[in-house]
Amino acid sequence: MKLQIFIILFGFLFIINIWGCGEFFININTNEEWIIRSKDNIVVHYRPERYTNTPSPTDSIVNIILDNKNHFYELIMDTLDIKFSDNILVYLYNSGEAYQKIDRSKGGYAITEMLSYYWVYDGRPRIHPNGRTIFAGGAHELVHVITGQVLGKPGTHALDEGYAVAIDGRSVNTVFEDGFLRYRTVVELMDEYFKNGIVLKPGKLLYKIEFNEYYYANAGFFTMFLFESYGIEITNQLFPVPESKFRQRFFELTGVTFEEMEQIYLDYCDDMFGAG
Amino acid sequence: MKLKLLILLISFTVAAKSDENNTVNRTIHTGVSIKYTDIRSVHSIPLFVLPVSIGYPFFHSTPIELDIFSILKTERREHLLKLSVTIPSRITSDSGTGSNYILDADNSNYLRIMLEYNYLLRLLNWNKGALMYGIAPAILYEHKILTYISGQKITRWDLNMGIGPSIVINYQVFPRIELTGQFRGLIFPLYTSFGRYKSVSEGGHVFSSNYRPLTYIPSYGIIMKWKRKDSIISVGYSKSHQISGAKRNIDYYSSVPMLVVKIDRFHEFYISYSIKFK
Repeated sequence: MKLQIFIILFGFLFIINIWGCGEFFININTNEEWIIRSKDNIVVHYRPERYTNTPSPTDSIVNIILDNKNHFYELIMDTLDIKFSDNILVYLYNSGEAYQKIDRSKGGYAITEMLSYYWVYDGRPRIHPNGRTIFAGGAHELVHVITGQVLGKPGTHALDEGYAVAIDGRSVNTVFEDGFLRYRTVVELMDEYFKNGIVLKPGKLLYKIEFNEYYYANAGFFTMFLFESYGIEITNQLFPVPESKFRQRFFELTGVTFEEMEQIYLDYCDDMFGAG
Repeated sequence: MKLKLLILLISFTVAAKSDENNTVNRTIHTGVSIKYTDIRSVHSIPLFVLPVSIGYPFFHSTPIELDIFSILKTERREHLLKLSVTIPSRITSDSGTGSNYILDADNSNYLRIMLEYNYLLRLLNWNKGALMYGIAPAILYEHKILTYISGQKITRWDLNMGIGPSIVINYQVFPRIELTGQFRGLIFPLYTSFGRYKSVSEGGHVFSSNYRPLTYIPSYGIIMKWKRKDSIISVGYSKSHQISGAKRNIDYYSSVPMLVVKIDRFHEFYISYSIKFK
């Protein structure tokens, strides 16, 4: 009997040794099939044809993605006035596999330290507010990668998402118009929120985390306001400041108290959306 | 929780006391081991679906580790004290087909130093086998430098103190050959861990911050021991995961985004030699 117990315990240890408790959280799978194509600073990884039941990108679509991403890469450099020349890796997971693999059924997320981002590819073109047809998001995830590397780790979600939304200039969700899926501009969304009286004050934005269009648009618009009112250089210095030190640091950099700035921001919103 | 800790403490005290004066069968082994480690580091992801199957890109490192250890064994108890130091090794990246698009591997490196103590008590014992359980406090220091192709650099180090349960099963396959299976789950709380992160961008912009990591390291291993007259030669394999998340301060539930996330897998192969002292 004792021997049987022993064998069972030993077998159990042997099995969990092979599978590992860590696999309960993460199954590190490095045997996946990717096709890689690159252009300038963008390296796109995508699935071969018929890899899943849902479509994989065609060569022509990958060309569009490469062109778009390089365009956005340059746009970020110009907007933020920073130097960055590393490659950024884009991983396109087909929609049929994405939820299991990357915990997303749409959209994507950035992995700053690995200069990468994941995106759920569903084969549907979307129109960016700048007129480009995009298949793998706009500048949003690229902004996360680049700002996290160049400006330091984000101190608040408000500026982390704010930078991404402000530079990309688009909404998170699309609307169906004239036969196309279109992203709306942040200004359009904020116009609606303002008219409904639900604009978030900066003080609330800093202490809040929400992963929805409302929060993202508010954070983006607030960041646009900071860019416009205090300049890129000062806003870049605020990017890694945590919420607990934000008010003090803001005053040090601008000479304006946080409370004064909040009022200026609300007046700015009023000027932009209230009159019409 | 406090009650559980008290019961655990009392059970160790009682078990240890019963063996206190037993010096007849006491042996001490002191030895060294050399270890080849294959480390794959993946990235942070939101853990809403478990397990999440991910792979690319990953950072890859294969350090050689040197261990010095001492084991004090009595009939019922075992004390292991071990110091492990890796030789700093380069880090490269694999994007999916073996290509490194990210790191300057020659200027990226990894160092790990660990001091661990494992206190084991005998739970079951029979002719050829034994089951032991115990606790394993440890101090872990990790230092990582990531230099990207552009020249920008991230340096981070952390010092972690933690403790966790351990289970060991021994089986005497032949008179001189013993097979051992072991599990250890180390938890390094925020309160006893501290780290420092610094990044220097290509344009010279510096960002630095302290951080407080919360780390869990489950580890499993199999060892085959060849017991000679005055020495033991062992070969072993173990697999560990390191799952860690760190914010800038101890307030883990604050809305400040994560500063450092580690998801690493270690495959370790080693050979050790120890000498017996009576």
